[in-house]
Amino acid sequence: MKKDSAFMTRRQFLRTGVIGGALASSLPSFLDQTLFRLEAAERNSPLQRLHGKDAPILILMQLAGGNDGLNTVIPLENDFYHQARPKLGSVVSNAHTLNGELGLHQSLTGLKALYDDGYLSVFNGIGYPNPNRSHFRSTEIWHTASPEGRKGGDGWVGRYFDNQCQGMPAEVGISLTRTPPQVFQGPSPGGITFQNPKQFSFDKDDEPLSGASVGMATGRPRQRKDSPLHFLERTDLDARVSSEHLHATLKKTPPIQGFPNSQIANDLSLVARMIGGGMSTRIYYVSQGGFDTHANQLYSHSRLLKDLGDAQKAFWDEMKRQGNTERVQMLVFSEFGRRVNENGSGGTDHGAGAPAFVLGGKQKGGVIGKLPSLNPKDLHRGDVQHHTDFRRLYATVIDDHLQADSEALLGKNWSAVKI
Amino acid sequence: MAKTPTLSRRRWSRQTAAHLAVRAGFGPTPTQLDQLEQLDPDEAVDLFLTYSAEKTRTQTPDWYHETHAKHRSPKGLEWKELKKLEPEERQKLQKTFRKKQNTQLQRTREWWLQRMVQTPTPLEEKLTLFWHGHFATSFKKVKCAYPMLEQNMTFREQGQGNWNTFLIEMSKDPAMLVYLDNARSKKRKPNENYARELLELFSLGEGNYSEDDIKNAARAFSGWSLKSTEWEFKERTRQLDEGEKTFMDASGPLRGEDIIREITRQPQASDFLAERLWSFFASETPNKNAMADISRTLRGTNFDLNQGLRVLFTHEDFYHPSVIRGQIKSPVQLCVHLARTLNEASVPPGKMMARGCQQLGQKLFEPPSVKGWDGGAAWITASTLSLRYRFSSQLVRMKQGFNVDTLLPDRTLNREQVREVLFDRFYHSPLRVQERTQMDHYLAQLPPASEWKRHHVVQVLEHLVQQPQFQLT
Repeated sequence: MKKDSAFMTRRQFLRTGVIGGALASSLPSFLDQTLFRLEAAERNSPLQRLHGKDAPILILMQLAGGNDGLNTVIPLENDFYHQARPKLGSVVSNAHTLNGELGLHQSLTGLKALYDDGYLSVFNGIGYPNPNRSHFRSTEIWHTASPEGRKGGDGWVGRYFDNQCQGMPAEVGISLTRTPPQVFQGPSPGGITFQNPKQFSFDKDDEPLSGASVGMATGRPRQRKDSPLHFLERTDLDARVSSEHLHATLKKTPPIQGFPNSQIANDLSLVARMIGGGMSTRIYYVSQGGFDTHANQLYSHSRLLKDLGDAQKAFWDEMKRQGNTERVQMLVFSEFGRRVNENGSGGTDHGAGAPAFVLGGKQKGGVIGKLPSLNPKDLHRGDVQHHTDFRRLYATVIDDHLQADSEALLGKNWSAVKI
Repeated sequence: MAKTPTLSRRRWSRQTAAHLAVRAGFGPTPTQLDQLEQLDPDEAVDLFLTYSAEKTRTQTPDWYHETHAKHRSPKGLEWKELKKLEPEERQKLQKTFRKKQNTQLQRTREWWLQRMVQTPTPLEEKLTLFWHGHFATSFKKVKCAYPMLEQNMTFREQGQGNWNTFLIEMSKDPAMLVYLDNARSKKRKPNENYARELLELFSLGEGNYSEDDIKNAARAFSGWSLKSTEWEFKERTRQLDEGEKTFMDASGPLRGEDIIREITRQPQASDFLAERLWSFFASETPNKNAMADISRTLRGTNFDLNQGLRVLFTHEDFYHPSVIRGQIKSPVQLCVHLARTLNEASVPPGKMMARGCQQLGQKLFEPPSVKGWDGGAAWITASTLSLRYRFSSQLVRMKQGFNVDTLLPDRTLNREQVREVLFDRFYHSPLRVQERTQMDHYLAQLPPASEWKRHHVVQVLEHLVQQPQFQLT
């Protein structure tokens, strides 16, 4: 196989890798037809924009478990807050002031620095109607952008792949998670998932006798309902192509110095290397876990936020170095916030409505939207009421950053929040 | 009661027998498959369902019987006493304690995987794995090995019994009480974590309860906690909320047991459980008829889990062509199944199996979340697929991996016959024409079987296990 595969597309791979190999004689005819279709599709589509070096990149980061928004973006002088949180309210004293009213948790030194540079927009009161307090269902709602939708629906990024990225290689989306995120699920599958690039390789590829499983591949099925076998064959093929490309890219970009040592920092460092190395990836998905703080949260939450802030700072420093701050944008969200009242075990239970962050160089930055009222009479069953639907935030990143059509992806015209 | 369509004797074959063995266990050894094929479907299912889980307490990892195994803290000391020690002394004690817990848990992991390979009662192990994913509890938070093993034993003892009793046992399970914070719940401000997951993930499913139900269930469980120094359930009367509550259709000074009873009275309770069983043992694609049959049986037998399992494993739809070989193997299934297929006479090292399963995304006793492992397509990513190929090869290449003479006793077979023997053994199916042709092409590049040395066989087996097809069962 050709080793210089930096710009290899699926089509080229199929040609040089599979067809060019010993298997050419047994190449199934349907695979051949798939190649013709791919080629035709690429000729006729306005895709070149997406292949271009300056195409926008979006990173989605989920704070998984339900981040305690009120102890992240903290109301500094609010009696209702202190009444609800006699223990946990102690974080007010050392918070980094944003404006007179709100402050960032003291562990978020990194985010504060980005805020001061105009790289951070803090959105208050983000949510959706009839909030769901199940981690899994609420995550699904955020991923599908559809509180009304059925379970197991397609993700909004999956619709973006289908809508805007036809013919792109699978690496158009990369998720650094244990399992593929639902947000990537779509009518035509896109995106690959891996945790550690070191573990992700097919070292026996060059032995003519053992590469035969590629020969079984049936190309990329169009059906939403893949059979398990089709799904496996497609993943096998995608994985072989992307792993070649990924390793070539990482070879060009050595590990970056100055990132702290945490899971989320490792992930963001890897994303930075992939961006710097010129992967054609448009959407990256990363997740920081551990935010389900039902008990004794003062210490654990503080540590989580420190990891978050420090990793963000290192990542954006690297983007500045690469000159990619305008091309890259990051949306940080959590499936829900937590109840306003702390519980008896020094923690907080599942709630609703929470802040979200957008980071990047193409914005003014600042605090956007007011903190929802914490007055008990304004709460809904002990939770803050959201005032801005999360899909307006999606519209912001889709229309203004990805330069795609948010109405087509979200099924409705949500007016973008200006940032 | 409506009649459940069961598999007819006519359709009982080598392939359906193998299907039962891979789903109700971790795959047949070659000898077992020969025996199963000779039985009636009912007899075969009976063979899996009949075992006594109570005996298993005698077969535990060695550390389980040590004097201090049950302690929650170093030397079983109270927190007050620990605090009196010099900080250095205390930290040393705690470090040793944590280290010991990690070692014990690792030994338990290896013990369980080896047990899965060797067991004469495969459904016991498969079912225990199912309940481990259902009542997902993680050592990461529990931090002690004893309660994790105790919970594993409870899965064995209750997993085939009565659902109502099982749910009460799990609500009092020490590992669960810590994992979902109920042990810390206070009467004045109850912790909702357990109550929510009990309703959402363990018994009724999302959408089948209200937020008030959660709050009231949390109140009912508030005093259910642990002894302070030992891993044992204790009801703390001071934290018990005996006030009036309304939960679903019941009102009164409800207790935890009343909440469970009320849950199992809901029509969704049996539907939910039937769906979970079908999804784990049969297919990710729901089958309304089969699930309704299982659900009706559960309801009609006061939630006798064994009866539900019997309906599942004898059901005609369980043997539908789309169900057979339609499931993506879990890492544990991949590993244990391959070990059982390769060699009946030896077990791979526990350490190797544990590490492999962990890399592929299934670290036993540490499920990723309270929802357990998603299973199915979620097992497969670009990286886990390449790791699966490598791990399977590693099992094949192991010294004791397989015995050439039992694998291929007749070396005079021609190419097509060799392929048939190998497909039967590793896929339990002749597969499609295209895979047969491909395998024949592959074998054509090798010398005839009569001339094979061990390295030829290793090469062929590595090829067989590094296929998308091999991920299915």
